[in-house]
Amino acid sequence: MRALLVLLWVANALAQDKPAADGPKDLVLRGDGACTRCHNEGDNYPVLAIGKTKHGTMADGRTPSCTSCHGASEAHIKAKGNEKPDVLFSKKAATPVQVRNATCLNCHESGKRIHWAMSVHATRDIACTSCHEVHTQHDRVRAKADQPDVCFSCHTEIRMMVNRQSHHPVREGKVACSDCHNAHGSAGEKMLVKDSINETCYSCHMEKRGPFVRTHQPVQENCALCHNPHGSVQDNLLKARGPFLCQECHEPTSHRGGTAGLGGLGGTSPGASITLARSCLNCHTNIHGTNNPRDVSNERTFRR
Amino acid sequence: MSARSAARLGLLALAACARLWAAEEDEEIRAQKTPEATLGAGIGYVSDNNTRFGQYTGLTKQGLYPLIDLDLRKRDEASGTWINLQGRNLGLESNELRFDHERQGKWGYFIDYNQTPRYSPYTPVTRLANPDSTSQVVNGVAVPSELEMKTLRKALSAGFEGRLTGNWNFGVRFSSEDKDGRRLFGRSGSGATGSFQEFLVDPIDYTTRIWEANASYADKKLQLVAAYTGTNFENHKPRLDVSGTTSTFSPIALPPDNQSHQLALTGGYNFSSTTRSTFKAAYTYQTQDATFIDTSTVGRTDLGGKVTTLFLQGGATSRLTRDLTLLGNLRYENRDDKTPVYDYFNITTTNTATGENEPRSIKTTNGKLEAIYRLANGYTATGGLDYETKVRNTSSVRVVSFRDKTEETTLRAELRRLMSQTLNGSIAFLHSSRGGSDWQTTTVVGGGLGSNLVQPIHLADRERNLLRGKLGWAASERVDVNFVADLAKDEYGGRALGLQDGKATHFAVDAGFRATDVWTATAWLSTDDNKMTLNSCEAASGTGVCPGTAADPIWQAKLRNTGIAFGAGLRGKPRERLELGGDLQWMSDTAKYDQGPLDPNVQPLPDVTFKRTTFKLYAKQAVDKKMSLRAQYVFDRFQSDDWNWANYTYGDGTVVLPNNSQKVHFIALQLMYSL
Repeated sequence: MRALLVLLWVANALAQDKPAADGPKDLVLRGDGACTRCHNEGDNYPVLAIGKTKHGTMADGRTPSCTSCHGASEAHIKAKGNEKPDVLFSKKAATPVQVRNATCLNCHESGKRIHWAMSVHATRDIACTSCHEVHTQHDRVRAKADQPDVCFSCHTEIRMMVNRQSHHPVREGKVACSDCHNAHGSAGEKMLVKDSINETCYSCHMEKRGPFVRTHQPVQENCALCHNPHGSVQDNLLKARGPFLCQECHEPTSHRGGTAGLGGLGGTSPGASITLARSCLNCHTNIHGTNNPRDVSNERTFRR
Repeated sequence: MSARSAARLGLLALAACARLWAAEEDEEIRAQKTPEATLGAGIGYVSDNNTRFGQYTGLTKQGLYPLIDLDLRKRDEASGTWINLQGRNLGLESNELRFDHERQGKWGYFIDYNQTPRYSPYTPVTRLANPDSTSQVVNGVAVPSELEMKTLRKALSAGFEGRLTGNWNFGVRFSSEDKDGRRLFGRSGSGATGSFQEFLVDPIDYTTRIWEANASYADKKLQLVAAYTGTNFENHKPRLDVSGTTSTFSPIALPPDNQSHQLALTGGYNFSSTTRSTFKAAYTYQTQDATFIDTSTVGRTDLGGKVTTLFLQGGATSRLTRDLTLLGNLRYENRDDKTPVYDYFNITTTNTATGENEPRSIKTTNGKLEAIYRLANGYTATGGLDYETKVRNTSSVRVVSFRDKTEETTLRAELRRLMSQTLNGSIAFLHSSRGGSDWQTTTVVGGGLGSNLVQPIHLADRERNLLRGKLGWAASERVDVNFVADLAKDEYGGRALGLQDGKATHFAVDAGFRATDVWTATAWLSTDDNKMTLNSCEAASGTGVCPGTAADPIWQAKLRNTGIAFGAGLRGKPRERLELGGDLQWMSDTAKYDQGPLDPNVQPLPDVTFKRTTFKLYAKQAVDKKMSLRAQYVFDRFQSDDWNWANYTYGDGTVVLPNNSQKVHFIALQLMYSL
């Protein structure tokens, strides 16, 4: 019997890296022993995976402990899990969203998140963890190919558009929502990464910026007057097929009020010649503006 | 064996087991907390040539493609130094490769290379010669041939970030993107048989460079970012010369070089834990002084384009009481086009142009006030007022009616309720009203009133109403369902022609179902319907009189796009080493035109439908702890009855194949290795 007791004592001692008197050892984060004593490698939720992330880089003195985010949670520890931790981040958690977000903003309020408090996401009680996953190496919303699915869980109308026949390569994983929008808020309109719609578009389409010898007024004012950047059934992300799109602004004098359709008499007559192919752009080919200074009358109509 | 010897042996055995268990446990912990690195290599097969399935990936030709993906991450625990190498689609035209080296919290730099192809869905069959050059010849080759229309963006970027002493950081970043390829283009002309259109290629050859530098400061109260951003656009083919027919439209100007410099200061300040203010001030100086491609009669060799933009934003939000939060924000942007004005087109003034270039300046002011009040029983009420005014310049003679000022006021109200942990919802209503200054009308030569029948869509009086409802229901621990409904209506006032009204609806239901601990499923269904009514007339006189005859009718088009889309996904891990998944997505969009009355020589536009079905299956079988095999199958089908290109032949004989029906099977096998 005595030999058996000795055996058990030795085995227990061997299994411990440190004497029991020091308390449970940390597994991932500083001071996490009190938590990982229960929330260990066998936990259903992959708690330890935070170690794979930047939050788990111990050499960086700024990285948090469990209690930095979840609170001291003494009642939870004393009750051995029968009480909830002080701060929880799951979808159905009772912790108010402002409290959850304050936890993140405590360290992440600078840089691209300066305008968070003014953003629609903040004022509509969107939690950081509504989009971000912290305890995983692969935070889907930070991966270009996966991010749109996270956004589409709320922005269902955009999901419809990006699947249309004319679209930016979102479904192909080459453009992400965050290439144009800052979900954390911005100084400009529509939470865009730049201060205006046009400035955002010019990031990739700088050839449209001009100014030109001949400018097209709506082009200079707002790209989104003619284009739907999220997708369209019309080619080139246009909001309407030509000539209808142009007829939303232009007077019906000369050939400009011509009926769209098939057939017709050719030239600039109503019918196919003003409707098919590139429609009005068949002739007015430089519709975003032209820098040709040639002194001929037709120059004003973006044709050369 | 004596009892003592047996005890010794038992002790040793138990000690060995304990060490083994501890080691296994440590290994499991290490595996769970150590950054993963994976490498995947394999091969994929595309069953058919296509322009839709591989439009942005490069999987457009029938055949085999190498598939290489890597995600290599290594962290030195002692120093917190990361070395990451991530690559995606490395065997394809859409390849991406990024290298990061970072000592976390100290410094870091990256180099990134990214390619994005874009294949036009359409294929011209043409006799155009030299389509990639700036000297194209219409009908310059004897036999028409198919032309692949494609652009390719190649972007290289690099950056460095460092943390200085205290709370200061700095960063620099540079990116350079080359875009080359072909875009559908064209020109008009006139000859003995009247006017005609010819097919051309825009021979794209751009370089876009962006460089940024910033310094930032952050503490608990104050956050600041001071930044400089420079941009430069260079077009290596700014002029297109076209020969071969009687058209006089040559040379044609392609986009000119331009550049900009911006200084910006962004900041936020926490007055208290409940009150915060943010601001931004930015000044941009942009120029366009590319050498003209053709002779100017005003003695200039370039436009001397200069645009300055001042952007100011300031806002604050405060939780005044436990239940009441107020927010206010003001934005101001002054885009001032200072380009010198010359009479480039030294022509007799017409009713639509003076001959001068027309710099476009616009001042936009946008204000927002919002109150958020938390009511009893989990309700939250939000009320908001938005105001926007735009002031624009215009020229003395114009081609459309114009307003130098528009104003729009929007009132918003929303009620949200976290009804319970299983049910939440919101309903929001928005009303906006847009008006503006008196119309600046078009004139005829001599100064009389011209045709002023249309209010341009962005200047028109508009009343907008929008109703949005959302409902989220966690039906059980295993089932989540979300509903969204949007109804919007626009009414344009004032003039009989142009856009009259618009209406949009959107409905969506999304469901997630965790069937078992092994299988999860998702499904969604969305519809949308967008309508607008457009009026115009044929052959209006210069003074705006519509004949309104059978030959030249006043017409109406009820433009309508309807869409329905469905998606479903299934994920499971039926065995410890086996993962299975599948996704089905189907969508159908229809464009309708509903025209009448019609010009007697014209047949109405038929409806157009676009349908796309995408079905994906994948399986991942672990071979051992390090290695797994991933198999993927994709079926993609695109169908359309778009008549646009099928009914059209350019004046030079070029036709464009619409490629309206495409079906592709894609099979891939990849070996994944965990390092």
